[in-house]
Amino acid sequence: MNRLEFYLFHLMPYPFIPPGEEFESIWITLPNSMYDPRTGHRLYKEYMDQMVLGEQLGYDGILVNEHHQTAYAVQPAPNLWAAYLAARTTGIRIGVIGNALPMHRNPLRVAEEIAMLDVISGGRIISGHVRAMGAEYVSSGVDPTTSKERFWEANDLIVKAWTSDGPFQWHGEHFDVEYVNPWPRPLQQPHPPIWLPGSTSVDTIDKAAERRYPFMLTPTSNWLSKSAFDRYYQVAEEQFGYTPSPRQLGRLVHTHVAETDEQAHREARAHIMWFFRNGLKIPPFHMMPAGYSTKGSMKKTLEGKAKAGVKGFTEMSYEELVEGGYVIVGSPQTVIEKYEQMIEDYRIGMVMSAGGHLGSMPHWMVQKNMYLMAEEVIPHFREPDGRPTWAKTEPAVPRTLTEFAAQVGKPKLAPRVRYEGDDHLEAATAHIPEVYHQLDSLRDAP
Amino acid sequence: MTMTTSEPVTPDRPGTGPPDTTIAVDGEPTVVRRAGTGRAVLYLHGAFAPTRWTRFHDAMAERFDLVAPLHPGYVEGHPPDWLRSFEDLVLHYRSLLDVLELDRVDLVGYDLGGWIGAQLAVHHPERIASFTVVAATGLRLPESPPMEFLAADPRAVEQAFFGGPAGEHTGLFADARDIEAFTNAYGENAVTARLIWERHYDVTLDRRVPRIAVPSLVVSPDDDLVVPLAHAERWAELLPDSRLVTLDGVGHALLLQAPDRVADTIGSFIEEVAG
Repeated sequence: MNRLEFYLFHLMPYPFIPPGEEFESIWITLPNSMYDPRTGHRLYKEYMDQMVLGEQLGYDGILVNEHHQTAYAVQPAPNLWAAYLAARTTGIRIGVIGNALPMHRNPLRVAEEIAMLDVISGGRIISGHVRAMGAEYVSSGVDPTTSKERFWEANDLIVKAWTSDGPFQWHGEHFDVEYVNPWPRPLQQPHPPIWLPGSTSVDTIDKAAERRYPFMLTPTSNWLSKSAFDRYYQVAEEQFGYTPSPRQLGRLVHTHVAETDEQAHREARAHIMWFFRNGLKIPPFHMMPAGYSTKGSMKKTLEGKAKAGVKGFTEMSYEELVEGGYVIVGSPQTVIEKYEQMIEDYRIGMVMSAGGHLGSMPHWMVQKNMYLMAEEVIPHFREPDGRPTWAKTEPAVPRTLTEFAAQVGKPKLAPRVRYEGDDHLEAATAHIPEVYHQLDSLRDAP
Repeated sequence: MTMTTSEPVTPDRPGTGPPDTTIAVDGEPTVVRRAGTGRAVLYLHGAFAPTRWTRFHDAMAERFDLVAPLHPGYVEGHPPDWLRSFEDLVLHYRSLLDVLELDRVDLVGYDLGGWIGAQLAVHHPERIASFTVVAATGLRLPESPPMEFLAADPRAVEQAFFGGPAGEHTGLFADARDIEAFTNAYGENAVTARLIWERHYDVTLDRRVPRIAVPSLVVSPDDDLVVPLAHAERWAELLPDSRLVTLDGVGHALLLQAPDRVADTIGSFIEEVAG
């Protein structure tokens, strides 16, 4: 088994905005008049090309996610993007990490869209489920005070919709659906893998460990990463009696690799700083609007930060970001060593944003980063054949018609139709007299 | 009736307010401050500095038996599970009047409290002798929306709340550096969020408020940057037996900025109703 899976992670930002010091927030209130759709078109094409390249280079998966009303991540409809991605690729896994479940009045929409993506893509979908950031509650008008309840109820409804035969009724606290019977059903059985991306919130980690959902940790320091992953192991082992596989744990840490350490820093510095200074320029009243967090956990967070002297993302220097482990930058050898260290320290099996785009990085530099990762770093963590996980497993459904005919064969039911009399014709041959003349009621039909 | 007393949660002027009295209303612990004698006035607080006892309270208590409960959740800093709509508050306050054995009260609601009060008066007119709304929210006026303050810069909210510099009240909208004050306000706002996040107004009020037949008073700053004056004008239009009084030189913080003037305006009205 490969020791580390590598996922491209893309926020798809729109970096053509003023510096962070000149606006209140990159979310919600940054005027959308700054968005030029022609430039947006070019960016989307470049971003898609980068993701498609990920498959050609041999990454394990491509991850996109949902954000609203922000230049930080211009991907309000991740399932649309995943559909486009599915059309442009053939084997690589596609993760939507995730759909913001509480945003939906009826979360069955998510169950339907993910199932649809799973069927279209041939069973390549990872379904990340997120509660959505505080800012999404401000822009959507959805009540943040019930969002955790809504999240778990939506998650449970979606899982049941995927795994139980319909129709059934769902009478929940927040969702009342008389007929749950979504078509299509997902291709992967029992359902597409569910990931829980999250920060260091113990609530999320504990729930993920309980349900054995892979947990992806969003960017944070080495120290907090260690405590988050240790927590997952501890909860799994002590409370739920199992030892997690490393593949249940992933860390999102942007990595930039170049020929030498010095060159990597030269290339990445400005774009990393753009991301942390401008891309993450969000005031607390957007990040944590009233009711999004509880009074108790807000107090704990603020006291913890004050005690540890933790700086906000926008306040950190480049050196602090590198030293704290928020990003990894260096030569292939340096990056390999840091990943080895992560495997040892955190016992994780997945790394996200491992090479690829960040912030304001231009297309050519992203591609260079990816090529070097694929050629110099990733093989180090693979079996001798160098193959990504998806190339080692049989696809969930045959790719060619001959394989399909041989392995799946004809559907259980053939489409049939009645014209006159009592007999049903098979629609596929209903236009061929030699076939339908064999039926009594149609023996003399023209 | 079981009750316990304790120090006021956040006294504006320490030592001046009545103690917090906790009574059970439908089994839910509810904090009530009560001071003064005379006609019973039920005062329903708003979303701003909701737990404070202020000079306005004292001035009201000098003329009336002022009953000032805290809405459910504001002390704890999170909405109780059972609080899902304004209807729950109507039931809660009807029960509170029962527990306190108050047959009829003069009802005064400020800001969000005016909205809650209106629903209470609509559903239980027999319990209300008069109705006063002060800079109240709740009505839908798309051309004059109230300020969004639950996800806004506290400095901008403070500026709008006072209609200018906060003066002696500076620090009411604490930033995160004052962890205690900030998290208290954060918790209070969570309760407000439960009530108004998804609907910053109630479209039913336009049809319901005209049912409030008791003598009514509408008080508003003449230039309120949080709840525009158009709201007060609309309240006055909807309340069949009402008059509108506007106060100059104050903002939405009028209870803090001109406590005696507001108390006197309301007090004179209630005394007039009493005859």
